[in-house]
Amino acid sequence: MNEALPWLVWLLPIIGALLTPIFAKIGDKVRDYLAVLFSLASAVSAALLLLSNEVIHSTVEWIPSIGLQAGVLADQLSIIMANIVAWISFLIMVYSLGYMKGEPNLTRYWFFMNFFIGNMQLIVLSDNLLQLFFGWEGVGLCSYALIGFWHTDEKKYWVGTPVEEGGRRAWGREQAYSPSHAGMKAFITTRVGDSAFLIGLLILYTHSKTFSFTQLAEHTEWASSLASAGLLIPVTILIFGGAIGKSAQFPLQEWLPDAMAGPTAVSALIHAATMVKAGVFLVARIGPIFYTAAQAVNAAPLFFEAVAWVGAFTAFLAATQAVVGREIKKVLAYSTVSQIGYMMLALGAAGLVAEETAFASGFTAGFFHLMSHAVFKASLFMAAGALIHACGSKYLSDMGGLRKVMPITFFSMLLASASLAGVPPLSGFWSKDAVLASVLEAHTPYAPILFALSVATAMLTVFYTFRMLGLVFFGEKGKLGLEHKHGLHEEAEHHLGEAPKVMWLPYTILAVASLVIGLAGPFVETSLHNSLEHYLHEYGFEAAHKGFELNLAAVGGSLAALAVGLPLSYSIYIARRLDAAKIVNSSKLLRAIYIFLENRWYLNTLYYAIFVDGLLSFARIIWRGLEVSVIDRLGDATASASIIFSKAGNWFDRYIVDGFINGLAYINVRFSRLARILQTGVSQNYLLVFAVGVIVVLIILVLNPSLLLR
Amino acid sequence: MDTPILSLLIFIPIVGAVVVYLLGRLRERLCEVASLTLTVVVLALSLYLYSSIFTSNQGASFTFIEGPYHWLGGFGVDYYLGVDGLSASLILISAFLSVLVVLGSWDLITEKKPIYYFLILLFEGSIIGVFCSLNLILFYVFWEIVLIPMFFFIGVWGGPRRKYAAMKFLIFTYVGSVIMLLGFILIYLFTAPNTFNIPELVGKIPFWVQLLATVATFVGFGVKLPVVPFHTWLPDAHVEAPAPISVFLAGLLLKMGGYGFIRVNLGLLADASRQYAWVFIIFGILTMFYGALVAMIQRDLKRMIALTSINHMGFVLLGSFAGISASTAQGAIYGISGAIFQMFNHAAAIGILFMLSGYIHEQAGTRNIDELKGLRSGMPKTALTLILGSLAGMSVPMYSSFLSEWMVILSAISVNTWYALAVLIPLLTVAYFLWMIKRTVLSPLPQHTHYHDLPNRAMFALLLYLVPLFLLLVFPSLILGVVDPLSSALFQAVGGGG
Repeated sequence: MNEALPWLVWLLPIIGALLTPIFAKIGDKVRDYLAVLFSLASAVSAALLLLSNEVIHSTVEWIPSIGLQAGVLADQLSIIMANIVAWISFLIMVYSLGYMKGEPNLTRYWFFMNFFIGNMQLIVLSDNLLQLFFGWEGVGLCSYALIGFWHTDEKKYWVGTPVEEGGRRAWGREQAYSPSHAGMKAFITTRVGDSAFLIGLLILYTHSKTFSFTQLAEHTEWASSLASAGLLIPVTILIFGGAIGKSAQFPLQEWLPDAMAGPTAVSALIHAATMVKAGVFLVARIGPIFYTAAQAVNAAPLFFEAVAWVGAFTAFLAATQAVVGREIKKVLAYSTVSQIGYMMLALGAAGLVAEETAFASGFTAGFFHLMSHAVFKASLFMAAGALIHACGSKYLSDMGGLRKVMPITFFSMLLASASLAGVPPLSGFWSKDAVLASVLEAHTPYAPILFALSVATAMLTVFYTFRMLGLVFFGEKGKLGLEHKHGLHEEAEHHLGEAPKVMWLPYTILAVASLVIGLAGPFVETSLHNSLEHYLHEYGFEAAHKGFELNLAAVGGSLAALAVGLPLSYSIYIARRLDAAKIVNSSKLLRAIYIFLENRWYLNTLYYAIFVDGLLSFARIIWRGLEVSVIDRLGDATASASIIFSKAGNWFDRYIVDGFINGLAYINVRFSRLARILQTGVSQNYLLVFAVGVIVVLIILVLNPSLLLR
Repeated sequence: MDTPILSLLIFIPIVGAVVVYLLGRLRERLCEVASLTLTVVVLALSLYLYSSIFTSNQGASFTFIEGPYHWLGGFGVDYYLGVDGLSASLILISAFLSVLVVLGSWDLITEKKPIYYFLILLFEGSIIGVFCSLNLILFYVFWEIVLIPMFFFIGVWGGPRRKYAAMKFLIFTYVGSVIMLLGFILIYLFTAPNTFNIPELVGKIPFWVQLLATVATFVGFGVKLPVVPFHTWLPDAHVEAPAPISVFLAGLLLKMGGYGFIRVNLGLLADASRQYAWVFIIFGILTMFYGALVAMIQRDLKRMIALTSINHMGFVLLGSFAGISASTAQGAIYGISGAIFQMFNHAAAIGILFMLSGYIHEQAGTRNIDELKGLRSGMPKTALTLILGSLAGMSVPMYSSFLSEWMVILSAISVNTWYALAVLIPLLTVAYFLWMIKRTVLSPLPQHTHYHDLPNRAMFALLLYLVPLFLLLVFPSLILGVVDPLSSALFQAVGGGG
């Protein structure tokens, strides 16, 4: 029975997805509730795994001829991750019941939601890289389908600010995208990472002859084989490329903010809590393997250095963009990218420690932050969805003064935001602290720079979090609120008020969970540390059980961030003593920085210029310059050549051969019957064939005289 | 040797073709039903053939041998048939596609039905003949017979530029096959037993003959596969051909090239192939990139799909030659089996896409991607099928085409790490398919536009193409079990793996 549990965790949602169209025939209610039920069943199986608390590794034959097996591996890492995914997914599914109520095409919605959960669990529970890659592509597909859920592309579903609504152009390119465009962008951008991942894992396989994690960890000869070919570092970096794409890290971060075109429940599930964590999970899965392998060949820990730098830089990059976000979901999206950067940073720092026993602390920090972020960010997104429903607008400027109108949402958003900002004693405080501590422990000359970057990011985080909170809940009632007061906006009047219970319950639960985890912070961190250490032990790490300890420098950094960011944000956005627009407009430099940030450091535009326009014009040049003008002409030339050739043949036929025959006939009129026969009908052709035949036979005989002798 | 199954497979359709034609003169409906019946019978026979090879694990050697019976005495032209794993799987897919093509033609072909179905069956019989001939001249004869129905299909039932396309097709493939024939004659002349029989030639051909013959067959098979720059007949032929015939063209006719490369180049000209594999590999990668790149900017849906074919068939070339030049048996199995697997998958994936392009053209009156709008709202069933088909074309890991592509790439990487760049090709493929879907399916429906949707029967027939793709993803050994022994035998024959 236990053997089957991990299989159930990922198969149940997929079965549920496949059954959705059939349930839909019975009735809409049946379809909706059964879809939620299937995700609950999967969550229960995951919980049972947690309770049984044993490592389960179960395999079946897949491609026997090349010795490939399919299997599930439920160990400490994957069980914890599976539970995070399963329970948050379940809550978001419940939330969807309210959020998506009354939308058309819900069969498609439920299908892809459950299909997504199944594939995500497949990633988590796979025992080998190839199978993980299947889930990896599966979640990408679901993400594509769900971002583009409102595929009819009405303007109200667009992400970004269209030019006619006061949006900015960057280098003449509009920075707003339709849902179907955003979906495509997400799929292709992550596919870039996936391709790198695929290259990496295939090269790895040619040296290791196995995709299985346990095999890779046990037999590390592949590392020396790769290293002697000079491929160890490229391969690890390529595989990391997959994580970069999926987790929207620099340089492939541009898809995630635009993925907000999807329904908010989708953003909460896929683009905040689960799928974007797949990259972090991948690094957590293979990081220890690479670490031991690299140690075996004394290779430089370049992989971890890359992970740490990418993480730290992305964290900073995205946080700066969140500061100027106009749309509530986009602020949260930038924040997600930034926070995932933290997780990457911690995992990278883990591999840079001086001694092996310290690996576990960075590792735990990354994972702890993953967990606490999943909880509070899912809560924030769902609450944002409720706000968007209530106000009928995605813009922060349209909201404001909502704390009286939506008290429950205010309360849970306050908790979750405070957690994001790292206010003690919420979960985000502890996990961010662990991340900062792990950076300080890293044994690299760059550790101070990384630390400074992450403290700066923390400051920005505090600032933009309270900016969002202030803009939404404090100050005057926003545009829509005012219209509501004067009865101008009937739709708003209908909505403005607290969200239905089925919606606020899930996000309040998560917000409270973030408080509870925070109150028990040291305990949670220590037990997570111990169980992950247990896991690392399986991969040959020495365990050094340690109690909880607070890194004072890290706490200092984090509190300093709070001390700088909070008052500033408070006075501008909550107390509204200062006017942000005036400050920005007061100096040219600030204005330039503002535009630079709003245009996403111009990276988005740059990518479009190179990879979309550039590629298409290259393709057009190839088409016009090579296919149409050269290769096609070659074909036509062949055709004309053969026509000329056959004309020549005809001429030869008529004048030479015919003439010859005629001449012959004329001379031998009386003697030659042959000539007369040949003159009738198709004589020339026969003769031509005959002549060619004779020539061929002669050539054969000349080249190969032995034929005559046989 | 009791029942001559292979002869039956060849001559049931060919003789049946005449019967179907005569029945069709009586009543047109009759010839449709009769040809469906005949193709189903052939499918059943080929399934039997396939399963008996599968269960007896005989993929490496020729079984069901008929002959050699002297045909044109003295010149080594014998009637000599036999199948191994490669032939059996290609015969199976031929029979499978023939059934689906006949089904699809019911809707899409309205003119000159009797002669059309006559040609369909003639095509089926002769292409099965290609796949099981063990005599090079017999192979050549069937190879040329295949061209005849195809020429008429394009020239009679084709689109507005059908005459140009048909001529271009004929000239290209004909020139290619004549050069190929020269290669065969060369082999005959300079090999110790002067014979055209493939089993007797294995391992006997001197190296320099192999080299010259390789050049000749490269042109011959390369035109068919097609290899860039011999591909230019393909987009025109596909665009002009009626949709069911495009399925035949891409699904089967191109496979003749792949089959030829594996049967002749890897089987007979093995040493030359192994030594100069890199030339073929480079051509393969070039072909894939080129196909993907030019497919990207096409406005005609069908031309885009046709160029996708070029992109996909490059994998066959890459896989075969990476496999033969691999250093380990494992690498060889990945490459050669992957190539054969890819042929199978490509046939099914491209089949559904071409049929769809035909239906879409019929329902919307255009195939222009920029003019097709709002399919999701206008014809939801078509849109769903198009998305499912495109996913197969993109080799997303929910279909077996993903498996075959990574097998090929894996083999290539094991030969030279730089060949890993081939992974970028599926990326381009994804990009242009998604762009197409964005413009056609996921766009708002223009006002006052009314499309007819797919009839349920047609949708069912279309989804049948995807069945093997799903099935083989979960149970890839269904096909690898037959072709793997062959791959390792080919590899051992060139002295690979010590």
